[in-house]
Amino acid sequence: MFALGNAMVADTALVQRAQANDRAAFNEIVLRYKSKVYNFIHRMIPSMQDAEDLTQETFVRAYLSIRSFQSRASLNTWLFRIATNLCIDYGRRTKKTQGLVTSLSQDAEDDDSESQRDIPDTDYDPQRLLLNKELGAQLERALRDLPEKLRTVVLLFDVEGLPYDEIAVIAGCPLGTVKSRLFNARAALREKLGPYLSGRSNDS
Amino acid sequence: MIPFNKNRKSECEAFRALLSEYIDNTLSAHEAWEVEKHLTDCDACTTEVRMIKATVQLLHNAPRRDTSDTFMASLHARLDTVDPTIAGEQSLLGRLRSWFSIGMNSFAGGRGPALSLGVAVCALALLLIANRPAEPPIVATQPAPAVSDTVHISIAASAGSPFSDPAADNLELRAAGHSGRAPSSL
Repeated sequence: MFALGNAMVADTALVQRAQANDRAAFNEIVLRYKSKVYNFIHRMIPSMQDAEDLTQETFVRAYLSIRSFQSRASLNTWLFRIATNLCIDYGRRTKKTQGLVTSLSQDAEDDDSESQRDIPDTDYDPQRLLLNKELGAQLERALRDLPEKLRTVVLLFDVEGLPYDEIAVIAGCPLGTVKSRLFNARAALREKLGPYLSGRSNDS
Repeated sequence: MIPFNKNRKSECEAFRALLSEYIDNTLSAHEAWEVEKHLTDCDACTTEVRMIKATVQLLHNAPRRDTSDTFMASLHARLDTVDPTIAGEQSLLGRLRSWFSIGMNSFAGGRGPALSLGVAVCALALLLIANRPAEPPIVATQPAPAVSDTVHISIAASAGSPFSDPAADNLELRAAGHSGRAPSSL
């Protein structure tokens, strides 16, 4: 939870204040969730700039409809649901114009700009760091190649750590579908990353 | 280790469907025990578990990015241009639309728009039927037979032969004496 002064303020308290037009409370909500929402969106859509725009749009929509938020779902779930719907709309729009397939140039651009994709490793080993960087790039590529529905579930569960039932609400599908999508997504990722994982799986 | 054969393959396929949930610790105790029992003598599935665990570990450790330095400033600039109090007071139509949309999404899982369209078409059809004139115009040149005439003919026919089908008799009577008349409705 985000610290407001010395007190840990719960989401529900922040929402109640935001519903009473307390802009500072809404600001706290944004600070608390912008990184999570952005990390999810930037893996859902290919363009980094559009990912930031969609993250902003998520919070603008949340701001406009915060009064109708009734706390039946968690704030986290609600925000991810808005973000997921925006990503689906974005996918439909871009499919019509250019398609969602990431171009090679986009991959190269991202690879060049991303030293952050290195898998954290405290031991300095240049060969291992190089492998980690390559592995990180492969992971991002494999995620992008997943169908949208599988990608949504695996990102929400394995990256963002949401439980099955919240993902079912966000994705608008039954719990069993969430589990089968997760299984299929992991199988597809494991298939693509197999050559890179064989060394790591022996380590673990 | 049990040698690989056809039965073994189908057994592995059945267990592999559970491995993802096994890794997440969401199987029942009995299912988890069954999986573990299978893993003790199946190298292929044990390797599969290791690979899925490595994939999941990779996803857990996927590097996180943050928004740009200008994110908050530009977001607040956008928030300054909108008013949540106005947006919160939706029209009745807007509220109905959003409720309907939420309901369809949750039940249809992404097929909401198609179902919404289907329901809208049905509603339109019902509306048209409800607004039809009570007595549709008769297009025929001669007047349609009164209902009472038809009933009398049916009763008379059935009275003559209690085992005959009045409807069939009625059709015969129509064919004989009322063939020139138009249907009462179109």
